Amino acid sequence: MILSKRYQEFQDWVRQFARKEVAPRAKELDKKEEFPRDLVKRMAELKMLGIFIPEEYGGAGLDTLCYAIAVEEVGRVCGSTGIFLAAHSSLGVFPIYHAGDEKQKSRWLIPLVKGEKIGSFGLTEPNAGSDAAATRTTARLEGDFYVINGIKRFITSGSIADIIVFTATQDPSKGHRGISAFVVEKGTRGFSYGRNEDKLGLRGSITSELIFEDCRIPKENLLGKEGEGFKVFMDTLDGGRISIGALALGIGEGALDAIINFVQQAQESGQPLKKNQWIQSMVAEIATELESARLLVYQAAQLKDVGIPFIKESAMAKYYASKVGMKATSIALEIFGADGLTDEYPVERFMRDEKLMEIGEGTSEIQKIVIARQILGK
Amino acid sequence: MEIVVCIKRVPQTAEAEVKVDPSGRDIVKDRLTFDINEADSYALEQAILLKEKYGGSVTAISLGPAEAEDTLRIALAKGADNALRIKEEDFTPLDGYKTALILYNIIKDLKYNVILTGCIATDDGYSQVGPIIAELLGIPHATLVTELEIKDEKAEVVRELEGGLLERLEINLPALFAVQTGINEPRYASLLAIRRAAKKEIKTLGGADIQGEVKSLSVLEKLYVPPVERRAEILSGSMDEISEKLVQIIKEKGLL
Amino acid sequence: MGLIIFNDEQTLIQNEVKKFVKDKLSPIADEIDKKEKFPEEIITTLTELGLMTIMVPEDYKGAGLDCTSLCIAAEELSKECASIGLVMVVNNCLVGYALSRYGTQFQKTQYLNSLSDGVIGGYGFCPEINNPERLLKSEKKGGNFVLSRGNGFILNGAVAEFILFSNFQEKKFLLFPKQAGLKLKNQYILGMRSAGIVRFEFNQIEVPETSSFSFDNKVFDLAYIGFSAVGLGIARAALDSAIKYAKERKQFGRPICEFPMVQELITKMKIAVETSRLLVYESAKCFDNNEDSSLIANITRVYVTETAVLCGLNAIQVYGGYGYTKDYPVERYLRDAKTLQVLLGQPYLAKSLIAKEILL
Repeated sequence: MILSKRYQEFQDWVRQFARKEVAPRAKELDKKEEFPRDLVKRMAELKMLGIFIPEEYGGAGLDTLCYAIAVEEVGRVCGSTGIFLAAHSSLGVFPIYHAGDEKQKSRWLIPLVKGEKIGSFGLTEPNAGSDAAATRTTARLEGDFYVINGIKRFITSGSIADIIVFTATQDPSKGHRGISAFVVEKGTRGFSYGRNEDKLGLRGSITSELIFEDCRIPKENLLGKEGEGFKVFMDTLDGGRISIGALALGIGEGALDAIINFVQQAQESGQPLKKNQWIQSMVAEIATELESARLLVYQAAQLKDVGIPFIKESAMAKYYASKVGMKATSIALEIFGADGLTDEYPVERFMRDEKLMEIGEGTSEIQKIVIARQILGK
Repeated sequence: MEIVVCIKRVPQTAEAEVKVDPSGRDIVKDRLTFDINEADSYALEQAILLKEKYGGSVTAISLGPAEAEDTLRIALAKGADNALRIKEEDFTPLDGYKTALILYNIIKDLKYNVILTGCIATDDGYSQVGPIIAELLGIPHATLVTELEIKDEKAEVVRELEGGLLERLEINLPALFAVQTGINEPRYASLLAIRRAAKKEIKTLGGADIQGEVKSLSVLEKLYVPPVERRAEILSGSMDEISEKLVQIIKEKGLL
Repeated sequence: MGLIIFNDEQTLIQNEVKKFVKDKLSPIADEIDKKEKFPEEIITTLTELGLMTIMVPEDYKGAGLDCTSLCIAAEELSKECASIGLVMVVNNCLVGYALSRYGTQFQKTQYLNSLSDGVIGGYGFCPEINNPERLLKSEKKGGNFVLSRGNGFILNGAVAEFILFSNFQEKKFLLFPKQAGLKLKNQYILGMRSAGIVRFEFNQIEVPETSSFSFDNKVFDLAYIGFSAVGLGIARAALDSAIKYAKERKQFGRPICEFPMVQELITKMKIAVETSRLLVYESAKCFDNNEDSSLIANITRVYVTETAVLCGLNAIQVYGGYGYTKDYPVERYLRDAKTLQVLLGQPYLAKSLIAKEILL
């Protein structure tokens, strides 16, 4: 796909940033399970935390395609930093921008975009994973407050977030129509964090449990209208899928970059490895698949930007990019052999990071259901 | 010291789904795995430990189908000197008494100072065979044995009673002991020992080798899974809602 | 299930190993993996049971059994803990069998004999595709071999008292005691973290010429079959976990095993596992019958290790977010499977050997 000059320039710029500032930190973030606060600060300075947010709210005033390119390029060198960027932007910033009123925007959106605060999104629960309508966290209106009870799980950036958008039901018997979206701020009484997950990959990103025990949040923290929470998070996830697709693509491209580097230098029985057709076949296949994934991801972003429905396309982008990305990272290890298993190369990390892309923000199975419904009708 | 140990091959039902077969008198066995009865593996280990300490030989006997020879081979691999299978197929159906009578008929002609059995079989759970063999042979016995030492032709045993009590006894040999699980730590057969045991002969005896008539005293009429009668209800909702519902149910039942 | 037929001896071995795994290994497998430490106590017990010297002849205190028995034991052990399966397969195939088949009388008396006393042997190699600078090179100098510029991995290296290095160019093994002047370095590895895999390097080492001996394909045929049995164990463990979880986990008011999308993930695993079992025991039978087993060993290695990876990936997928955490063993299955798949050489190298055999 030929990007217009404006996007090419943005791509060059963000690639430079990722390679110069993020890449050198990636191995260490994974090893030490360290959250990159300094990189968050840098990204805020570069206005990367609100790429698609208008300048009036402190954003860069760019669009979804630029955002997808940014997540892709960051993910290409570091999955953990990439998932932070994607979660903060799509899940923390977006729903407030999308469903918040002006007061809420000035209160939460601006500090999030400026990177003064970290955002997060609490949807998944221990028993409400793919079945998000099964939300059991409850909200009860008491005077000017909602009283919240329940537990959220697998929340990206959960325990380090200052502003968390979450869903709770006012009437579980109503299913998804009983669900509303709220915002809770760090430090609110009755709101605490459980443990952080010990994960296969994305070890430099934090995944936590959120616990609400008779947590009272002011009425003004309702995002949108009562009973419209399901729509808020469906809209959020439709866009979020583009960013996870972009991240899956980026991680897969990172693996391909590593393969190219390795193959160009390595020899086999005195011959350059790049002349080996077994290698050529694998490289050609994954490069083609990643290129196709890129087209799908960029297409979904562009549809969103021009205001055409993009549900099917964003589901396709996430499903396909994570699938071929997983294959690319897996094949990278098959090309590197035993050396690739060590931390001297990034390929084993890419593989561990990439597996989440087939699970988070709607598993591949859910994406297939979304796609099929769009094609076949409900 | 001459030791006889009786071992049984049983289906492993602890973690499996057990179904009654169409005859209503047996369970469906084709998907089950079989192994030595748990308590019997401790009896076998105890037999080998006694032999290792006092010398002599161990004879392992199993009344079972041809597959029981696998169980006997493992006994040989672990240290038994002789193995003997009594063909179950010549005698079915069996109850505890008839099983004991058959085993008695074989053991009475063997040399023995100590006879060991497990205290219970996990399939039928009769716990009868050991004591009946001892009675038929006219020798003393102890059940649920958790310690066993031999001193001067006598056995010092500890047995388990209800309520956590233990009983220490001194018993004249020859005697029979039905051992409880946990009395020792059964060993595993090494590969080399298995390989050697695989080539050893296992003697088989059938109906023709037993004198006199062997008859059951009881008849198995029917096996069945107890019907589920009470309904269980799982309460859902937040902690508060669950507590509320629970209190309501207790009130309805008139317990509060 | 009629194609794989075990004889009495093999059935007994399978039952006894299963029992050992259930009683002794299951309760600690998780802990072994979390600690990422070589499980010395368990290995000592394996030695006592003869599992570390399955194919070593009885004259050298081994169990004198066959490749099928080795695969049975490796499959069952690896189902619970693949690192232990790998340690045992390396010791049996790349050390025990290599010495029994190719070693000199002195080497057999000195090293092969010691395996049943609990000595563990290591296997050292330099990955085949490489910077040529890293490859092991040997030169004769007087009565000695001078080795230069080695850099690679040693399987079982953390505890091995002697190491067999493979030098593929010359098809020779070089045997050195641990003290010979190697620099061993602990190395982070994606999976098989309790298997004691270490890095080695040296600039120059001089060893007596008698420490070298030639080998042929047979030893690698066996190793690939053994590795595949480990992969089969991992794949079965992943399949069993996925089945259990899919029956328990409810979403949309139903156990997720009722959804065809989940059924598809699990049936793919099941089909590949059953096929893998046939391949593993077919290739073991070929090996035991002394037939040329190179082709089938390579086919088995490619297919079964790929199956293990597929099963690891799909098991995580069935578990969803939970599968991505270390609270469940499925992420370990993927790491172990991927490690196994590429450790002894890239899968495409095995494919090129298959091609050579059937086409050229």
